Amino acid sequence: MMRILFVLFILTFSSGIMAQNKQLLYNFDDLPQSLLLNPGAETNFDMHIGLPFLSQIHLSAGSSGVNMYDIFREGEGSVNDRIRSSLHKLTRKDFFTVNQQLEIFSIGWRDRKRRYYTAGIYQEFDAFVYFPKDPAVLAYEGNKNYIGRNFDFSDAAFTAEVLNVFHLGFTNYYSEDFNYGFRGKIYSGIFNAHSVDNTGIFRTELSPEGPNLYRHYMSQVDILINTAGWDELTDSDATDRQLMASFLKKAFLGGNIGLGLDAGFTWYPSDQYRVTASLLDIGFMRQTKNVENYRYYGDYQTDGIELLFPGTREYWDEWEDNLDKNLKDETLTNSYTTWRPVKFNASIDFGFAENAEPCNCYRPMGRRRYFNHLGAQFFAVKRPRGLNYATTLYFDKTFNDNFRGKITYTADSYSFSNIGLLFSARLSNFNVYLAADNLLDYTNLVKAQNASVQLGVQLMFSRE
Amino acid sequence: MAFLTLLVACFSCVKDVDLDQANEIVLSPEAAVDLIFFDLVASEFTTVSGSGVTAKDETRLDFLDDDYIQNDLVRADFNFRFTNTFESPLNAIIRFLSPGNGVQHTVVVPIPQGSLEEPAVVDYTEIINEAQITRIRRSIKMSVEVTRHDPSAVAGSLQLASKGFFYFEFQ
Repeated sequence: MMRILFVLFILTFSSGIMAQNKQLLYNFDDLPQSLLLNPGAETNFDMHIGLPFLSQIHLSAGSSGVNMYDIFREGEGSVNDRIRSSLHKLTRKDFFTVNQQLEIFSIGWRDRKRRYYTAGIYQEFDAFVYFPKDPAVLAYEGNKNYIGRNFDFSDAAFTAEVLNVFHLGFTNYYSEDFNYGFRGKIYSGIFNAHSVDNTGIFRTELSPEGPNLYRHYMSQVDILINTAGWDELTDSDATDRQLMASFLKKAFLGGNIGLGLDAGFTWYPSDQYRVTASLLDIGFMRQTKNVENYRYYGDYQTDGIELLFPGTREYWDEWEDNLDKNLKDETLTNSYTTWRPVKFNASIDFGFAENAEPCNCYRPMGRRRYFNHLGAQFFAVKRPRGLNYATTLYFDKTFNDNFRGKITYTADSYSFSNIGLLFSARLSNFNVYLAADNLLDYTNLVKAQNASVQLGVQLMFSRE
Repeated sequence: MAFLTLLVACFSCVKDVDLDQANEIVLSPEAAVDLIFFDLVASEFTTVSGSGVTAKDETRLDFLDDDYIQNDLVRADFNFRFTNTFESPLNAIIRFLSPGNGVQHTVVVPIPQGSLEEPAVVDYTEIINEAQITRIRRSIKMSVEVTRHDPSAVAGSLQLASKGFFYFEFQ
């Protein structure tokens, strides 16, 4: 069991990808999902209704530092050697992230002034874990070969949350060349775990001037894990029915609540050039219900147990009492605030191969349109220790009224070989799309550092 | 293209790996920890016997009862460093005792005569291998008994510093 946990620990708590980067959907104006990435995006339809639970299914996960192949490849060396090697290759900056979104409900419509309104609900799971390098080395190798070295508990940092997002947005066509939009969000929290800004070191050092051979230190330790909803998940007395009732209650505004805002714009410096940018999830959640905070803090040092000939013979109890007095373990119920991971997108693209079909006068497209777009996109997401970035080059091609595709090449700190494909088909008012990235790794998934997929079906309508 | 994408997704595969190796994974941390220490002077030798005067004490080591010791400890090295400034040879007996005071393992360390000017230092390591490790798992206490063979050699002291190396295999 222990080793399975450790492998999961290595594989999952090891690093990451740009799991929230949806480079394939961004700027894809045939799909309403592009509005979720930029509320100021232009759209090429006048109404949409998502099929409940099917209009967007998004999954992504990955690891920047190691993959399955690094650990379980056949031949050369033992699996334990490879784990040890991976452990030393990874750094505290490596991270793991998983993101999943499911659109429960989605609708949008354009008014007579060409503004596009959207409303919907989606469920999201987001987890981000930095590789806890020093605690992992201490757990895997122990301190014997690391006398005099600090094991830093600040390496441990993670966030995880499950929530429902209720949103309402609009895109306003300010002028022929400039659109902007906003989306208000209410976050309905189902589960949250949050542990960042931990501090403290463990150190064992030789003690030539001390009474014993070593001296062990736990210095400035302050480890805090905040949770909301965890106590219910671990309540062994709760029935499945009770758990489901609680889950649904929290999913629909009966739990912890937060507020957020998306904003974005599209600007056409000329007919052929398009510049876009957006900020997503500028928001917070106030965790006040079902909260438990686990805190371990203090300072302590020890030389071992001194025998006094004769002593009280309660040496161990005295040593343990002293330990407990100096390193305290508390479970509290203090409310806390979490900030959502803010995302930033920006792009510039160039259109060519003009689409000479008559334009739809209900839409703000009083300019030349093009079948093909070649562009570059920048993405950043705020994480506990700073921003993570990705840059994408893309080619977006409209084949005809029914079929359109997009191919992307994305580079980030961890991968320079991420090729993605999106394909969208529209048959009458029915639309289906499928997008996946890191396609080169699909020939052998165990070598993949990361992968993501989005797919959905919806009804879309256009005024003629 | 969608068909191709779907095809790639459906037929993406896992190869060149052997997941059965998960059964071979062993976590083998090695912990270095302080144990007991003391500075024993003549007045603390309170029991008189035929071979000299004796001092005794013991402590519980409750961590020996923890799951990681009971299930996953495979080897333990105990290192004792005695520094003797008594002008008398001594004999130290360290015993690992069960909760019912049954002796599980005994370490005997003869310590030569020293002096205040020239302390006698004995650095002794007892290795408890995998075949013997149950002796440690059954133990919960450590007792120390020191006999000073020349009761008249009262100047000086006997110092002990000690540490343990604990080798685990978590499977």
